[in-house]
Amino acid sequence: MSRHHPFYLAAILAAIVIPPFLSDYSLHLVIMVVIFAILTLSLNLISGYGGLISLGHAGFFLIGSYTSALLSVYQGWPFWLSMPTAILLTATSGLLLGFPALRWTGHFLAVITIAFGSIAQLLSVNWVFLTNGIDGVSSIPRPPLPGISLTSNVNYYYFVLICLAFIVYLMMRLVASGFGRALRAIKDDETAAACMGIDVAVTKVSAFVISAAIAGFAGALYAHYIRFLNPDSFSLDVSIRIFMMMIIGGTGSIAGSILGSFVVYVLPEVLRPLQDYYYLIWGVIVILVMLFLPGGLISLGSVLRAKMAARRDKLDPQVGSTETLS
Amino acid sequence: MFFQLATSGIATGCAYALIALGFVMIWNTASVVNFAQGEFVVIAMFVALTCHVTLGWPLWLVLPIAVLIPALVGYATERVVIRPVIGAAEMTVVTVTIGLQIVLSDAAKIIYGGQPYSFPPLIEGRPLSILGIVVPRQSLVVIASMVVLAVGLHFLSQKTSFGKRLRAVSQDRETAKLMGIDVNRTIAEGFALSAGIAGVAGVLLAPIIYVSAGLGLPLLIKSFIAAIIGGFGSYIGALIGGLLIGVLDNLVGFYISSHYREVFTFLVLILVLLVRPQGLFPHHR
Amino acid sequence: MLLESTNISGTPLLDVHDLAVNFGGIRALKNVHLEVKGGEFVALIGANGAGKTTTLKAILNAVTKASGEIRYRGQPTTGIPTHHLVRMGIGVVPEGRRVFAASSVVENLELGALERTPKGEASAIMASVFDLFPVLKERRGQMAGSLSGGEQQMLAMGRALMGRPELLLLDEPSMGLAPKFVDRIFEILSDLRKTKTTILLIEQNALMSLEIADKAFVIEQGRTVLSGRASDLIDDPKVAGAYLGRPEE
Repeated sequence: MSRHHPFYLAAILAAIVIPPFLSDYSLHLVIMVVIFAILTLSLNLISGYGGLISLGHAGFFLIGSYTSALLSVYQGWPFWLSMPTAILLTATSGLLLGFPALRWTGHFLAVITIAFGSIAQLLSVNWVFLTNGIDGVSSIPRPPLPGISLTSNVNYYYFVLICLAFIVYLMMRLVASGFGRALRAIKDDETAAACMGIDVAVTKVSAFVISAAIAGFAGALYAHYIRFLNPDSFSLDVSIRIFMMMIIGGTGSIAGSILGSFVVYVLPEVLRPLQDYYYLIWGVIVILVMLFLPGGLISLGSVLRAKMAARRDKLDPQVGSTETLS
Repeated sequence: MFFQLATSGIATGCAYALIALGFVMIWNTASVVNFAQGEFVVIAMFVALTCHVTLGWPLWLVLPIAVLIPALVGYATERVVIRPVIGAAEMTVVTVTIGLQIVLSDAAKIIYGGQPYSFPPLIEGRPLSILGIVVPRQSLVVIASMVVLAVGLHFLSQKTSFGKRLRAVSQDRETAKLMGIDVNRTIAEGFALSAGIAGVAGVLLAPIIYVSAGLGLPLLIKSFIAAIIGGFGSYIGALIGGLLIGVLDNLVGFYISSHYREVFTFLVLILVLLVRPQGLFPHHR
Repeated sequence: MLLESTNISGTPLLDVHDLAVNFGGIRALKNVHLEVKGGEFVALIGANGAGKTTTLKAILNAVTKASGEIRYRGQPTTGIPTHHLVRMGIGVVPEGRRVFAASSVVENLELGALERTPKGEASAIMASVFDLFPVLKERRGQMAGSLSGGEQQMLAMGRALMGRPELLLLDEPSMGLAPKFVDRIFEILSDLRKTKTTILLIEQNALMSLEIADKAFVIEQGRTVLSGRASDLIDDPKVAGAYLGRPEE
């Protein structure tokens, strides 16, 4: 961790200092990066640390967004009431996936999550009485803050950045806690974890509920930023995109989630001429990461360092084989 | 009307059945859930489209090519992308096939664009009337092809040495090696066969639905659900499941609402998982 | 006729030298050597976890060796995939039988011949296998998974024999079997021995193995600690105490 400090410091500094100077479009991008970083963190909790595949997180995103949007637009609720409600509702929907996750893992669970996300989107298209269907929900207000106007995108950026920092802190505490350890033990070997006294059921379901809550939070932030919602933004493609961010950035890594969101959003802008091809490139990167760099891009530094250390060991005749390999 | 819908549903269902069959074959031999299975269907469709519609080649030439090319792509895919991850953690394998799905579907979109294309029927002529039901000749072709293919595959697996190798590898990969079976090659061949079967499904579907680059994922999801309904791992189950989905799709679309068609497929999945998760034909490995 | 009896004098059929294998982060084998000459019946005995099965896996290249040499028919086996070695004449009866449970007895036997025996000869060999194991003939159409443990062991042996192996490797054939079947298995092994087949038997049951083997190697904690004629080792006090259940004199 100490080796990484300068990079993280630089990144945090850049995140704080640079945005006011960005163009409108670039500012929009970084706000989306932050929101999707929160989403990727939520996915990483259950997939990265917990090993439970989810390709339906756009569903949680949708529920959070629409709940907060509908409550504030049609019921006149203030953001500070609609947002927690959105989180609560999304968290409850997490139960819908938490319980199947007890019975099924791997690809079965993947299909179930796809079903969840797809049904959520399909219902938001068809239940026009609730969601206004494809016409969407508009005029979603920015959150009111005493003294500061969040209508300015720059201010909203700092607002979501603070939210991200809060979620990062939350994740760090979760991962380090007994719950986090239990989750990782389950990922390694569920039977062994149960034998160690871990309540697998409670851990898995809680993981889904918390993950859903965080995703719902991201949803509320999104709705009040973009100010107009429609079901198109919550398709299976979006779920897959979040999944890609996690894989490319780094499974099981908090910094990796943020990096993944950044890379997936910003790279197409940097490689403008290749813009039509960027989905193709993501697919290739995902495959390459799985084959050669399973820890994601964030692990590049440590992998390279380990390779160089191994090379050093090979050349050093004093390092021989012993009874036990470290 | 019910039987009319059911019959045309059976035709699409046959195609779903074949896609599901290939999907299950890859699962049985390599323990891999191939998220890219739908893309093999799309490859076949576009190859047929280019060769027949754009280049004007005759069908008897186009159809074998349209089946062969996905098979080759399947073989190459297994060698390059899948083989390194066989036996790895499930999430790794799933992620690799998702990456593959993204690459193949985007490649199709880059080459052909996102718009729908139409493909002429494989057989000309007026629809037949059987027992009062109007049956397009194309549907008969589809159903007949499925039956022929299913019987042929059964024969292949029981009587040929390739089929026996495939079944041995499906049951116990390590022990198959001890029989002198080249497991890696057998898995690659199984992949190629599965992709070829998907290719046949593509060729059969092309005249029935609009061909477009984005078809892969929806087709994959349908065949995945079909496989689960049928009993994941069972070939008969995959076939029956595919037929059921095809018929259900049609019936729901008419009697309930065309908007809720997709939701219903998912609801059936959920129902099956709640009530009889082992599917219609439980498959024990 | 069932097996190719080889009588290569001098060069061992299988030669394992200074074998070291790392497995699961520890050095599972540190220094193993053994040697099987054509026509010999060699036993590799040792306690549970001593490294017997790891040695077998290394011989078959199912695990990579860290160092050492393995030669088959005088040629080093490094880098040759398992299925190639099998086709070169090594027949394997794996630990735990590992029959193809969803296939019939006949199908299992056919699989044993699939890659190693020409079709014409396979039926003749199957007839000999049925002579050797009449119970398999009785149950020829049955699913292998429904056979008893002892019957499955016979099927696994018959299946290996279907490939007319030059060298037959058996991994713990008596494990988990009722005493009646254990006796039967060892009876069959001594029958096979009479046909001058080259056999490497890996076993925990030291007494019965030493009674029928020509030579034996004793492996302990990943090392070959004793070797010699089986008849000598049976009387060896070191072996007696540790493996034969007799108190050391």
